[in-house]
Amino acid sequence: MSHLIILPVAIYLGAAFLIALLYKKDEKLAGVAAISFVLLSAIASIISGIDVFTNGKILYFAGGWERPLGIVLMLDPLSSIFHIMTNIIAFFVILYSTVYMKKYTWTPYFYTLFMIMLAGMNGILISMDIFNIYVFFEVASIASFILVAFGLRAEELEASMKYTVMSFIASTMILFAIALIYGFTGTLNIPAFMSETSGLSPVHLWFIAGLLFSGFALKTALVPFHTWLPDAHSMAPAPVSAILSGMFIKVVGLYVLIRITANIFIVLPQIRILLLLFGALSMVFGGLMAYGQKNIKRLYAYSTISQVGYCAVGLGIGGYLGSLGVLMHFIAHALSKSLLFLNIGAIEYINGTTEAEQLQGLNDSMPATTLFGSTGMLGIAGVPPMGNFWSKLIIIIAAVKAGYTGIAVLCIIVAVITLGYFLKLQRTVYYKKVENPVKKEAPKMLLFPMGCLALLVFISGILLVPGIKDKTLDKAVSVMENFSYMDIKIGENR
Amino acid sequence: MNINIWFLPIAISFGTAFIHLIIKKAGRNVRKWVSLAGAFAVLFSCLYSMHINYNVLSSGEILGLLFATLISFIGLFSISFSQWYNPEASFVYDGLLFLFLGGMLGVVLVHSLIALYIYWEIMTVASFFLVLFSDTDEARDASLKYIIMTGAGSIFLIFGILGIWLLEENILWKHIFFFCVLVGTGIKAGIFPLHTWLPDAHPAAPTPVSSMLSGVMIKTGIYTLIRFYFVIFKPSWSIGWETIMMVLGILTLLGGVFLALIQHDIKRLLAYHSISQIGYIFLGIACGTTIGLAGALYHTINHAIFKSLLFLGAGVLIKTNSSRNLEDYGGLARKLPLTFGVMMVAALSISGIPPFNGFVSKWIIYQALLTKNNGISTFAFIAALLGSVLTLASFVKVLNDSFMGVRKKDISAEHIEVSPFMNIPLVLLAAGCLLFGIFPGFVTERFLFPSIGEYVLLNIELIKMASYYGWLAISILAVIFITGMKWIKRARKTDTFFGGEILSAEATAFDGTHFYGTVKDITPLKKFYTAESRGVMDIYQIALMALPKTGMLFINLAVKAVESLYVKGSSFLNYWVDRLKLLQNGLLAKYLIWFFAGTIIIMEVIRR
Repeated sequence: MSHLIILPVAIYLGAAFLIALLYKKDEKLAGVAAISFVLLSAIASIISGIDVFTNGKILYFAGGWERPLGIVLMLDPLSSIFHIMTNIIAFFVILYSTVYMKKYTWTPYFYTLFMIMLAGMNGILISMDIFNIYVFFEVASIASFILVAFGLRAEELEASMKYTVMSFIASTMILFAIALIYGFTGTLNIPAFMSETSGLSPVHLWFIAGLLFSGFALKTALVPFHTWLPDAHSMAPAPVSAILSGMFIKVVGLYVLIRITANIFIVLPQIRILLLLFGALSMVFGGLMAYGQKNIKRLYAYSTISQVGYCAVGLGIGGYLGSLGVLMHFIAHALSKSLLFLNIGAIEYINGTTEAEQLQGLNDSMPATTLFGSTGMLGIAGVPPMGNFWSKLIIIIAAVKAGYTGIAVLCIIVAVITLGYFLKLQRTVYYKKVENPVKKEAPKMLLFPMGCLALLVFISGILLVPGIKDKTLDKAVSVMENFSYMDIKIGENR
Repeated sequence: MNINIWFLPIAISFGTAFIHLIIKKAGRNVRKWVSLAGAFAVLFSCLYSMHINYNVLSSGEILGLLFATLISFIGLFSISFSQWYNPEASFVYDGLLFLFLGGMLGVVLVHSLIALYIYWEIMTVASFFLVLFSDTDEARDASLKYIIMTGAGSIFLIFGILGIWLLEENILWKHIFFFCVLVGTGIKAGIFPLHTWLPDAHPAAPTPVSSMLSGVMIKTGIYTLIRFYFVIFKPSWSIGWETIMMVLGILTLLGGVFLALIQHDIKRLLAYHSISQIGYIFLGIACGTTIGLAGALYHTINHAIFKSLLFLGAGVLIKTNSSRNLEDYGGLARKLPLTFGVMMVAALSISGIPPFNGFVSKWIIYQALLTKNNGISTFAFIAALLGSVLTLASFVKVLNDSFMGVRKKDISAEHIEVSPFMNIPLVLLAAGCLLFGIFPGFVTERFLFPSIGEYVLLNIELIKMASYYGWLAISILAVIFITGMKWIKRARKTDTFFGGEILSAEATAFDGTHFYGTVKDITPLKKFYTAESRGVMDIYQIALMALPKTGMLFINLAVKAVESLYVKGSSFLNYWVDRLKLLQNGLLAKYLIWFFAGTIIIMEVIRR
C-alpha cells in the first residue's frame, strides 16, 4: 500500500513524457490521456488519504534505502488533505482545459507542462527532506513560469518574466538557507535537522528561518511579497490561473509555511507574529486592491492575496481554532477560487474579454455560468451555507479568544469589503438587465467541472460536522498542534 | 403515581377534542354527551389525582392541581351551559373548547417552564379562535386585538423564561427578566394598563367562552406570576418591584371598577369587573407575605366561581333578550327567578358582602394589607375598600336594570330556564359562593396552606374570623326576615300616585343606566372617562398609531444611514485604492524593493 504515495508523482512525471513523446500530434488523444492520468492519481491520492486518516502516517523509503542514506517520503493527515485537494481540483481543471485549450496551439505541450507542475506539487507534499522540497518546488515553479506565458502575447511574457525573476530570488533565498542548514548541521532531513536546532546558535537559527520564510512567503504571495501574483494569475490561461490560484500557491507556499511555523521552527514564536503582520497586511491590501480592479481576472487575483491573508492570520494565531480555521479556509478557498477562475475562463471563451465594463447582464445569455459564478463569489465573500463563512468565523473566534481583537475586527472589515466588491461585480456583470439578450451558454465540457466545483463549494461546510471533522480535519490539526518528529522512528514502516 | 398529575387531565381534554374531530358527522345529541362526559372525566381525573397524591405532592404541585381542579370545574359548568346556549354550534366549537381547556390545564400542571410556554401558546391560540367564533366584525376586531396583545405577552414571557434559564445570577438581568415575566403574565391577567384586550374580547366571545376566559384563563396569568414571583424570584428580592406591583394593583382595581360603572353592555361591564377583581388578587400577591398569597389564591378561586356565575347568568339574559344592552332588559325577576337569585348571590359575592365568598377573600387581603403596614399598602387598603363599594354600586345597577322595574319586551317561552344543562351549573356555582363564604377555615387549611407550602406562618384564626361575620350576617338576615315578615304583612299596599294622579308603572320605572350616566360628569372622573373613550389609555391603540410612524422613521433612518455609508464608504475606498494602485505600478525594480523590504522586516522581527 505504501507504494501508493509515490504513485501520483510517478504517474505525472511519466505522463508528461508520454504525452510529449507519443501524442504531440494528436490533441484529442493527448487530452484523453491527461484526463485519465490525473484521474488515476486522484484515485491513488484518495485511497492513500483514506489509509492515512484511518492509520496515521505513511512512510516510504525510496528504493529501499533506509535513513539517513536514502530519501524518505511521508504522507501524514496534514499533507494528505493538500494531496487530495490538489488532485481533485487538477482533475476538474484538466477536464475543463480539454475544451478550453482548443484556442491555443501546441496543447499537448500544455498537458506535458501541466503534468510536470502537478508532479512537482505532489512531490512537495510527500517530501520529508528539505532539499527534496526545494527540488520539487523548482520543478513545479519552472513548469508554472512556462504555463503563465503559454499564450505568448507580450503582456503574458512580461508577467511570466516578472514571476520568474521574483521566484528565482525566492529560490535563491531558499537554496541559501538550505546550504546554511547543511553546513551547520550536516543533514537535510527535516527530523534530523530538528534534533540539531538546539545546537545552532540563535543568530544562525533566525537567519535560516528568515531566509526560508521570505522565500516561501513570496510563493504564498503575502504582502509585500505578492507583487508578481496579480500579473501572473491574470495573464495565464484560465485553467492555469485556476490551479495556480486555487492550489499552487497553497501547496508551494502555504503548506511549507505551515510546516515551517508549526513543525520545524517551533522554537521561534516570532514567526507567528510575522504571519499575523503579513497576513493582516495581505487581507487589507488585497481586499482594497481587488475593490479597485476593472479586469475581473485581476480582481480575482487580488482577492486571492486577500484570502491567503486570512490563512496566514489563522496560522499566526495558532491553537486548535486557528489551525482548524487555516485548513478549512484553505479548502473552501481552493474550491471557490478555482471555480471562479474557470468561470471567468468560460465567460472569456464565449465573450472574448475579461474586462468588467464590457461584460453586462450575463444572467440572460449564460444562466448556468452565472449561477456557478455567483456561488463561487458568495462562497469567497463568506455567505453562510458555504464553507468560507465557517472558516472565517472560526478564524475570527480564534482571534478574539487569543486576544487579537484588532485582527478580528480587521477580518470582519475585510469580509465586508470582499462582499462589497463581489456584489458590485455581480450587479453589473451578471444581473444587469440588457436589451435583447442572446442565449449563448458555454459548452457542456466547461460547465460540468464548474458545476461540480460549485456543488463542492456549497457543501464544503460539511467538513465541520462533528462526525466528519473528527476523522479528517482534527487529525490534520493535531499534526499542526503537537507534532513531533521523534515519533517517526528509524526503520519504522508506518 | 405522579404521572397522573399532569398527564391524565390534559390527555383527556385533548383526547375529547380529537374525538370531536372524528365524530364531526354525528348529531348534536351525540356530541353533547361526548362533551359532558369529557368534561366530567377531566374533572374526575383532577379530583382523583388530588385525592391519591395529596400527601406526597410538593406545594407547587398542589398549587397547580388546585388551579387544575378549579379550571376543570369551571370548564365543566361552562361546557354544560354551552349545550343550552349554543345548541347549533359545530364540532369545531366543541373541539376548540376542549383544546382550550387542555391548554389551560397544561399551563398549570406541567413542571417545565418551556412546556408551560408551549401550553400557554396552545391556550392562546385556541381561545383566539373561540373569540373569533361568531365571525362578526366585532369579533374579528376583538380577536385580532386579543391575539396581538397576548402574542406580545407571549414574547415577553418566553424572553423571561429563557433569560431565567440562561442568566440567573446577574442582578440587572434579573430585573429585566422579571419585567418581562410581569408584562407577559400581566397582559394575560389583564393588569392595567395592559388590560385593554379584555373588555373587547369578553363581549365578542360566546358567553360560555367568556365565562372560561374571565373565570379561569386570566387566572393562568396569575398562576404563572405566582410561580415566578414566589418560587423563582423570592418575594423579598426587591422592594421596588413590590411597590410597583402594589401601585399596578391599585390602578387596576380602581380603573376597572370606575370603567365598569358607566358600561351599558353587560358583558363589557363584567369584563371591567374582572379587571378590577384581578387588581385585588394583584394586591395580595404584591404583599409578598403568606397571608397576602393566601388572600390572592382564595380570591382567585372565589372570583372564578362568582365571575363565571355572573357570565353564565348574563348569558341567560342575553339569550332570552337577544341583546347585550342593559337598557333592553327590565322586570325579568318574575320570568327568570332562578337567574335572578343566582345573579343576586354572585353580585353580593363580588361586592364582598358576608356571608358570601367574596367577603372572605377580600377580608384576608385587607388583613394582608394592614399587616404589611407601610404607606402604599395603607393607601391600597383604602382603595380596596372604595373598590368594593363601587362594585356594589355597579351591581345594584345591573340587578335593578335587568330584574326590577318594568318589562320592556316579552321574551319567548322556549328560552326560559328549563334546561338542566343551564340550571344545574348556575345553582352549583351559587352554592359554591355560599359554601366558600361560610367555611373559609376548611378551604384554607385543606387547600391553600398545602399549596403555599413553606410560607405557612399564618394565624388561621384570622381567616376563620371572616366566617364569624358570615354567620353573623346570616343570623341578622334571619332575624330581619322573621321579624320583618310580620311588618311586611302589615304594610299597606297601594298604587303609586303623585299629586293625586295615579302613575303608570312605566312612569315610575327607574332607569339605572341613566342614573349612573351622571357619574361621567363628575369633574375629576370626566377627564378619565373622556381619555378612556378616546383610547388614550389603550396601549394597543397607542401601539397601532405609533408603530407605522416609528417603523417608517426607522426605515427611513436605516435607508439613509446605509445610503450615506455606501456613498461615503465607496468614495473613501476609491480614494485609498487609487493611492494604493500607485504602489503596484508594474516596474520589476520596484517589486524587488518590495521584496527586500519585506525580507528586512522579517529579519528584524525574527531577530527579537
